[in-house]
Amino acid sequence: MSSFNWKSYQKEIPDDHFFYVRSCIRQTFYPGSEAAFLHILRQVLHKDVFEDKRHTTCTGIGYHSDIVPLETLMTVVGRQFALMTEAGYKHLLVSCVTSFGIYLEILDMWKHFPEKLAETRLALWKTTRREFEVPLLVAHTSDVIFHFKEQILEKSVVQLVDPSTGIALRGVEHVGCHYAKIFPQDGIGGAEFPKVLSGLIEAWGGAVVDYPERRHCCGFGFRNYLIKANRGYSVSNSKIKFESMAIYEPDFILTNCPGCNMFLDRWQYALSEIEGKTYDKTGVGIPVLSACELAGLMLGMDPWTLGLQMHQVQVESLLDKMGVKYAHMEKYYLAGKPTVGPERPSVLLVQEN
Amino acid sequence: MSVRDFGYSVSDQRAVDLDRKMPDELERVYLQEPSLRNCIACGNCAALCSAGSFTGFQFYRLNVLVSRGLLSELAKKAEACMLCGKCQMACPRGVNIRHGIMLMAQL
Amino acid sequence: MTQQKVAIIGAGPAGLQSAISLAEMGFLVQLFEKEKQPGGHLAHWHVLFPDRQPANEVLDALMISAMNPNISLITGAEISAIEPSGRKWQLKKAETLICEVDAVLLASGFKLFDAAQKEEYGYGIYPAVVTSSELEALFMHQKPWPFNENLESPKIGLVHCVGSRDAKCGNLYCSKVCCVTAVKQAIELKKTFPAAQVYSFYMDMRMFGLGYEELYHQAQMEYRVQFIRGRLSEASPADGQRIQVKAEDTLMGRPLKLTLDMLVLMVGMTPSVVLGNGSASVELKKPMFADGFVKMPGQALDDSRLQKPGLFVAGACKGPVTLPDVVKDAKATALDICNYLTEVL
Repeated sequence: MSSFNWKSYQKEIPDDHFFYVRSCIRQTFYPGSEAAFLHILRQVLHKDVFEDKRHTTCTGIGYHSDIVPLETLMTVVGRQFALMTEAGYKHLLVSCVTSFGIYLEILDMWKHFPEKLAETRLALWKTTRREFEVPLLVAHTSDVIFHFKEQILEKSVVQLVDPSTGIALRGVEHVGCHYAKIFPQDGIGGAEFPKVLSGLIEAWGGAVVDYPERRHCCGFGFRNYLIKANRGYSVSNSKIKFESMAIYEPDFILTNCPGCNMFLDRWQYALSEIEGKTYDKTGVGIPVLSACELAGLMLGMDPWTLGLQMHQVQVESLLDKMGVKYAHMEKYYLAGKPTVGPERPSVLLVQEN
Repeated sequence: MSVRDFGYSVSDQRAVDLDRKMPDELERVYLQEPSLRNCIACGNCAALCSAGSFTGFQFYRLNVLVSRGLLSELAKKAEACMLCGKCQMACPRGVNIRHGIMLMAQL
Repeated sequence: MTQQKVAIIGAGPAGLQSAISLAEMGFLVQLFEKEKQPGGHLAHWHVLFPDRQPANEVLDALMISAMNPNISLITGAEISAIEPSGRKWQLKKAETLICEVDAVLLASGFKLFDAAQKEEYGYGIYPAVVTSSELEALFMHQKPWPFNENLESPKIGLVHCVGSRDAKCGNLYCSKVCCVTAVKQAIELKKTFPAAQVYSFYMDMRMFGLGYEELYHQAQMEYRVQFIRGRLSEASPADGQRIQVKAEDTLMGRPLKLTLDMLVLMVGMTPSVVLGNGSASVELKKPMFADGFVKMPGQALDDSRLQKPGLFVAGACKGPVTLPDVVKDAKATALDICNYLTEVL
């Protein structure tokens, strides 16, 4: 669906020299996604991405779950900025959408309440003897992929097109709530008609499916997931999305938020086990990819190096449609040696080759 | 089909789904007492309701359930009415509440 | 003695009616209209609330009366400033002098709220989302319905307060006429598609005029329009060109979902012009976010005169108003202008 007013939400995305901060969820559950992103930026696009191994979690999940107080959060954010300042960088590149929202929220808060910035500077100085400058620009990984989408397309070996039929693959996108719903002006396309992922699908040859619950939350909801008694809300919200998208028979779901990626992926499994149902016709589920993983596939990276076997919904259905070559027997190799693969789910099918 | 217990469950949506067809029983309620459509939910009926002094009975809310087609949620609620008729004296839109209640109680 | 001259900016109902009244009093009127045709929004309307009188009937009557030798209508003429020249006023377009007159009446009316600003309703993106003004064009067969006309029972929703009573849009005021317009349009929809299911999403039903509440009553009883108290939160695309909407049914205290074949946005009135007060001259500027209507200093007893002698304002550029009230205001303002011109002579 083309939209005319997404263009009023443009943001400046730096061309080079990034200070990178990782995502807790991405590097734990989809480590290949994060590695692929860095590989693409450094080795394929020849960009300068600096990462300080001393950087930490932003504590955003703890903050949104009322475990980490605001002062602690601000000081941790201040420390990340201090590492960036010490390394001589001005562009913060954020892997996680929760963190992205956190950084924007803190920066906005400091703008309105300068005394909070002063408090943070003091707290950081007392505890670590560090000082910081606020970043000039804050970009999310998906912003950067969007920014370089044409270069990625030029170097791509496969696209979002079934090579045997020439038909565009159908993608539904799910943009993380904290990417643009808090600060629409800081997201490409804003919050109502975000372009950051749909723009990728369009540019890379696919067809975007606009569906009724496109803007609905993935269901993470922080404490709603973290506390087991509330977890039903989380999975039920994901179900609203799956039910809404199923009739359009999407070939894949594209995400920019590690949390959304995890819940849209894992909850398809949970729902299949609880309700005996999958949301695609063949029973293998709808593969869920992050923008980084999709870019990796486009550029010819091996799906198992990308870590796609770590997904709950297996991705072979999509790989086959895209014409991606892969060795099935190497799926569960570890350091070049075969390992025992995971247990089979009871409902969700795993494609046999 | 497998039903595995993870310690949490999937809930149904709370949202009223107006895409569902209006139940015939409720269409008949309107047919037999058209003035029910005239309600503007001002609450006059509920403020002086004898039954409402002690229970959660509110006629205008029952009427909303009828108009949204929520038959199952309506069940038995009308029985709380004490049939005093005070509401009907108060209604500014002349809704025949007593007849409405009788019809709803029979559902 | 030469005939005194009055310039009127805007040839909608307010401008036309004031021109007619002033011309009948013997003044020379130059009536400027920025569009190619006179009539303002009335020229694009099908029927009028509450009696469903055809809009063209009203406009034709105004146009016939305006065929007066004292009135010259100049269309396609946008005025950008009013400047004093002794006791007279000069109308200018950029730097060009258009005319010199004894009094000026601003009757530039209102602009419809740009519905694309309410992004969550998807106007301009989803073809099945139309404005109340476009619905009037649909009634007049000026364009095709955005759904299959052969549908047995199309589902149509009307959303009140689009761009009104909404701080996010910069408009805290009520546009006044949209509630009754929605009721009128709901009835017209049911007349066009008798088996249609028509839903109206409202915050309050502001049926302030004589005959309005009666019309609302008729819509409920006779036409079975469903009124749902709850502002629409979101419209998203459903299968085909249909639209899924979400609202809170505030009488139920529960969210509500519904798929529609057409969604009509009751767009409010916004200012068409903002007066920039230079030292002596008055600039006519394009309104910006939250600018508001032309503010009159005189309040209850005099709401036609600006503080500069000889400058008057009539009609919807002062705020949301109904057509009959515009006509009355135009007549009254013509009298004020007459009194002023008699005094200065």
